[in-house]
Amino acid sequence: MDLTFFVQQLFNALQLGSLYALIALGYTMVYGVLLLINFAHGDIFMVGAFLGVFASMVLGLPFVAALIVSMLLTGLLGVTIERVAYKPLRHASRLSVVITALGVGLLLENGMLALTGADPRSYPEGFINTTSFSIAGVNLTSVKIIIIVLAFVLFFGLYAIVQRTKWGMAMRAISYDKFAVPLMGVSQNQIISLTFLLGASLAAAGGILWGTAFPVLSPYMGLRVGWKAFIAAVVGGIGDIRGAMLGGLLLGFIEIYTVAYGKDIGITSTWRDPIVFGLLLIILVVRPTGLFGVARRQKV
Amino acid sequence: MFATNRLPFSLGDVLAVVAALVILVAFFVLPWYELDDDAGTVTGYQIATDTEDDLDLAGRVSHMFLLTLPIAALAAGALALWELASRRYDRAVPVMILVVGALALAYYYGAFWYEGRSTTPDEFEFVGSGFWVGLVALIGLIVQAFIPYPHEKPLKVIVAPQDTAEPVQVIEVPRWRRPFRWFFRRFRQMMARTPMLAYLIGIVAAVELERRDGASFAGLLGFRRPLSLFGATDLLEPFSDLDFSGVLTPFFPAPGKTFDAPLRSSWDALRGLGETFFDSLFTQSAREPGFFSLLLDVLEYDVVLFVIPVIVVALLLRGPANRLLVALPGWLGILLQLGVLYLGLTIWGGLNDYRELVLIYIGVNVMLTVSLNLVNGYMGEFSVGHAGFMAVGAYVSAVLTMWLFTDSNVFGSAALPSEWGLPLGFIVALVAGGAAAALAGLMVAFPSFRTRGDYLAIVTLAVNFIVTGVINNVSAIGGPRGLNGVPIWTDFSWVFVFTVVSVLAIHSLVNSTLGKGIIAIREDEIAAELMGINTRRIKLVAFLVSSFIAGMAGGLFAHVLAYVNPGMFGILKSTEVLVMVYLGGMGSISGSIIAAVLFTILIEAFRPLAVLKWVAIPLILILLMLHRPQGLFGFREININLRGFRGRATDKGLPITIGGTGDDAAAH
Amino acid sequence: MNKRIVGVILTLSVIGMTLGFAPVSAQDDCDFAGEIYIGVIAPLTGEIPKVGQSTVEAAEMAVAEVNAECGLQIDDENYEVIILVEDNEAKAESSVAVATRLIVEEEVTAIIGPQASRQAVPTGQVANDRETPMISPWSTNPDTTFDRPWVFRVAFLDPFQGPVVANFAASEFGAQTAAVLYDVASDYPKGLAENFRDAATDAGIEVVAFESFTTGDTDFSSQLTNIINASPDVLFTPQYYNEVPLIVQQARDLGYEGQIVGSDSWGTPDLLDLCGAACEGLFFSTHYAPDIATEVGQTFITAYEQEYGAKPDDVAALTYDAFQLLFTAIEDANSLDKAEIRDALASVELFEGVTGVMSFDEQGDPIKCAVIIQIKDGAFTYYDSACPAGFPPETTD
Repeated sequence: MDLTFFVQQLFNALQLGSLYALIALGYTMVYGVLLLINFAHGDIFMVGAFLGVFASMVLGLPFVAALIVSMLLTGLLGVTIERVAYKPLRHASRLSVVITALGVGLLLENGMLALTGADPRSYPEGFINTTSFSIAGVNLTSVKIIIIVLAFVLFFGLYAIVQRTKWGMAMRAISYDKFAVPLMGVSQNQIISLTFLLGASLAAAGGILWGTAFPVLSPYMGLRVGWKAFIAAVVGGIGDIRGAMLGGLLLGFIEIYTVAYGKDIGITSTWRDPIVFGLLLIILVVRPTGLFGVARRQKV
Repeated sequence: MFATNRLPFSLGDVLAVVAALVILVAFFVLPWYELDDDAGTVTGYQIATDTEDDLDLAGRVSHMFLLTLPIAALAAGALALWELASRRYDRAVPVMILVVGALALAYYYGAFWYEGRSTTPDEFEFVGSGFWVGLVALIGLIVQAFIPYPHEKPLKVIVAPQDTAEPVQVIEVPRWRRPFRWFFRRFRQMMARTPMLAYLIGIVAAVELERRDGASFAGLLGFRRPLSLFGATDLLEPFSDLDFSGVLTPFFPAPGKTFDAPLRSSWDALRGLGETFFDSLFTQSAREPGFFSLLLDVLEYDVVLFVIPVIVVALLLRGPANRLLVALPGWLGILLQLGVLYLGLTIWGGLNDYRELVLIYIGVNVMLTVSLNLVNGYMGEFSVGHAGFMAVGAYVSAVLTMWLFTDSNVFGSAALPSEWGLPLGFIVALVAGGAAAALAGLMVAFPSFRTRGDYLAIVTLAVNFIVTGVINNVSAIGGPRGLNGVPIWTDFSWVFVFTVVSVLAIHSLVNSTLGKGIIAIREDEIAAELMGINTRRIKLVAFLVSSFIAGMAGGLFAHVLAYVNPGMFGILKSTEVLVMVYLGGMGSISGSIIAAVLFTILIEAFRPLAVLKWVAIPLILILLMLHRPQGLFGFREININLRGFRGRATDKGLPITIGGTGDDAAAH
Repeated sequence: MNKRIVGVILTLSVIGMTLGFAPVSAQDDCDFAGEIYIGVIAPLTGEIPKVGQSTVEAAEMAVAEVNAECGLQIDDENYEVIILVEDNEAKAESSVAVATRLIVEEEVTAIIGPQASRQAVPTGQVANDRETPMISPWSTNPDTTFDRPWVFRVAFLDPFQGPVVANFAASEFGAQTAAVLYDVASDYPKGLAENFRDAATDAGIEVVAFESFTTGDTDFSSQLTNIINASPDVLFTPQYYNEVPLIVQQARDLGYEGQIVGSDSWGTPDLLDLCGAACEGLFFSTHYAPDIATEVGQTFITAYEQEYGAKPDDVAALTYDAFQLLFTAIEDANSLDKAEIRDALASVELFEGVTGVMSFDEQGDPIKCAVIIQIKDGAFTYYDSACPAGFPPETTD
């Protein structure tokens, strides 16, 4: 068991991890601004992937154009969902919004199933360059590289937006104190819309990349991935985008390496799920607010 | 001439009484059937007095029902006259008459409709004239409902309680809601001071009526069998043909199935869908009645068999039930009411296995919802992995009963004499399942000391995944193949007892000192700790109790399906329980119970919609959350009277809130 | 207020109009003496909606065909077949509920379904306890029919299919080593994976890697890297058609060059579209080969394609067979009595269906041949067949 094996698994983990991370970023952004666990996010991810099918199969767009179209449309969907379903509840109990989000998620996935049928979809051939090559015994594909690179590019882009722009500053400010900031003349509604726009577009990007890596799309594809990404965001420390990125990568690494090296210590891959979740549980016990999370100060 | 303010009745009342009389007369005088070979017609009077089956109506018409109508109408008429004479015009008159009028219409309608549907209509023929009489009567009654009493002012609701110094805030009730408010207020006045016991006995009477005559009445309406679940399962059947799948498919084509003109095909699909939808509303063929006619049939069935008997019996027993409950010690009264409830449910569920199964699912769901509400509602944590505890309880109790008391191909022959299994062994197994689930609950309880909020949510989720993941790996208990051959021991009685005990346990827990501590944690954990509350101990208790009950629910669940499989306890099941909790409202036991009942029945009722079912349910959930963010009964309980009303009834019954004083408006 | 009254009257007149639609008696060329109700339990929602869709399509076709020929003949009278389709959401408890409802309330003569073992096992108990014949087209778990005289199935069991694939791998590729990749949380793949492992060991193949994942996973790279590291001659993956393209694609991307074989769950034409060139040349075992199907099979395939614009998958074929089997049994029994239909089902000999010729053992499980299919030029093509010992009997030609 050699270095090649390790490096091969490293790329496997990077690919899976960066996909998780892309979705986790959307969770964490919405949470940071609204303190809302947007359970519909996994299904927005699914819609993004499906809109990619629309853009590529019906409109016949190439990869980059399809990615942009899908990101835009999905971003609009995210904003619409917020306006219709979450905004009226902004002053209600936090958990009623969470349950509404759960309902929106169910509605999206089952609505998609009802409206489009049960056939699995995929992107057209030649949608993305899929050459595979081998470097020193490590087998890679162009898709894998594109996914990893694009995920990091998007992450740093987002990080720059949040840290360097005025909009980003407003977002951070609202997450810090949502009562004082509107008094400073910052429109809370606009910032929240922007957050949903960014979060949903990232989910769409994740969806399309996911669809190119795993080209079988179904309306329920967001269910499990959504939960995993949610876990990643929380483990990283929800509300912090660095945490989401790290949490996503961490989840990918744990999943891949449990399988890769588990059997050396007598654990077959059938035990992967209990072990992965057990590890996450331990992380949360040791660090009760995740890796990057800061305990919210409570006034007593 | 009705302009005076103090007139004891309105113009509408006069109209209503006249309408009721018209119905009565019409029933007896008008011809109902036209017999073959010109033998003349049959009037209601002849039917009512036909004891010898001379008319030989092919045995299709239950005479019992034909007799119910005039008796009910006579009784209601007498009551109406009496109430009028006693100047209690605001009480029973309009509603009773309205009910009788609707019944009459429904009955005429049903009889008429039956003729159309009957497969062998040769022997006799219904005459439709009754329908039009009923229609006229009903219109009269509705007019009555809309004409206000001379002294009434427009409906208003007072928001602020009266003893505060703040100015009273008066809200106009929106126009469209006025009739509903009017109706419910009148109804409440009519049913004032009726204790739960009276309703429960009414329910027993109603379900007994259905058991005896449900089949024949359903036959009269054109159904093959008594309607199940109050007709809920049949109501949406016309829409089972709706297929939305073509609408967006052209825009999201599967590989190898692309469309040339997506817009065109989508439009065609949409148009076809519209046509199908319109067709399902109206009756197209004898075998597939349309939605509207089904709706009328179902309403008729429910009103005749359930609503009227319950109301009539409850009103009749109001006095005696109050006196009895006041005389009995509190616990005996509760026990008595539970007994009557049990009786009613057994009669209803005893009609067939499907109903009993639904009752069992309801009981299991109530246990799950109430126990999760303890953690999520009362303690304010966000547990999303409740199904994991259910899985532990299900597996442990199933393994115990299979290993100890049954011969199975998994564990070989029974380790103990199988006659020990029921009831003792089963109780032990269920409690052991609960205890094991409580142990699993420790996996959440200990982290909860430090980890809170959404982070704790992940811990519960992880526990759910760990439990199912571990079960998948233990091939001794079947792994993913599941455990087959669990004895089918759960019946309604078991579920009833365990549900009642669980609900009572949670009820007394949240009302104890410990329970106040639980609520204090929800309100502010740090403050609670500063007040000297041992938050760790309280969290431990809450998680243990919650998972214990979930484990027992899982045990009952396993012993009704005869099979357990880790896939049954995944995140979807947890989500369902979550939905029920928030549907009913956090921190409300009665809300949880009602939500569990509603949700279980909704699942069954929406089944004909197939794919659309899980579109409709989230839609309902979202709309409910937008209109009532706190859920159906967030942080409050339904006010039901279990102890009986003391003292004498006043003439006025409940205070009325018409533009003035009143207290029932404060509830809204 | 006036508006309201007008509204009420309007509503009532609409109701009155519904009365105007005089119920037309079904205009039939056949004179039906009555109806036979058959329950169909399908997973229309939940994890496997595609299976539900195929089930309903095949069921509707089977029933439409039989009714077009004036239904079933019992005592020289024609009976119309009516199916009552119920969704079980791919959940065991829902499946039990709808089965109970179909039996006690709708009083169905027989039940076709459920498809997945997870629902078929508990539902079989319901049907058996209430003495209603049930045929599960697709379930492979032995528990479904075991010790249940009223429950039958059409698909063959894992203990038969596992050895078929193992022996094929040994004889065709001369494989010395094999690897297995399967879903640990799903009973069909797990059962088949374990049967294959045992059979492969018997056939002299060493199983060098036995890797698993969980339902819903789409990334198998880690498991596949492990497998490739063990360098097996052949990879066996008894997964569903929507997972196979991912597995095959990822295996090839990671540099696996050996053979990949599968089981009957591959047998959905969608696989060809989803997998494309990557699956070219792979083998799997299944019930029938479309290209050399019997006359019954060819008719079915053509009719299905005409009706739904797609080739039938294994679920559709098996469901259709379940219906034909039931129809045969009802006509053999010449009665609507459930017990007599059950006896007739148990004594069916050499039933010829779309998925081949079969008869039934004492547990209600079919004895039939398996075929090996090769994916060639983007189509399922017949390659080989394997039959249980002594089947089919010599008498047939």
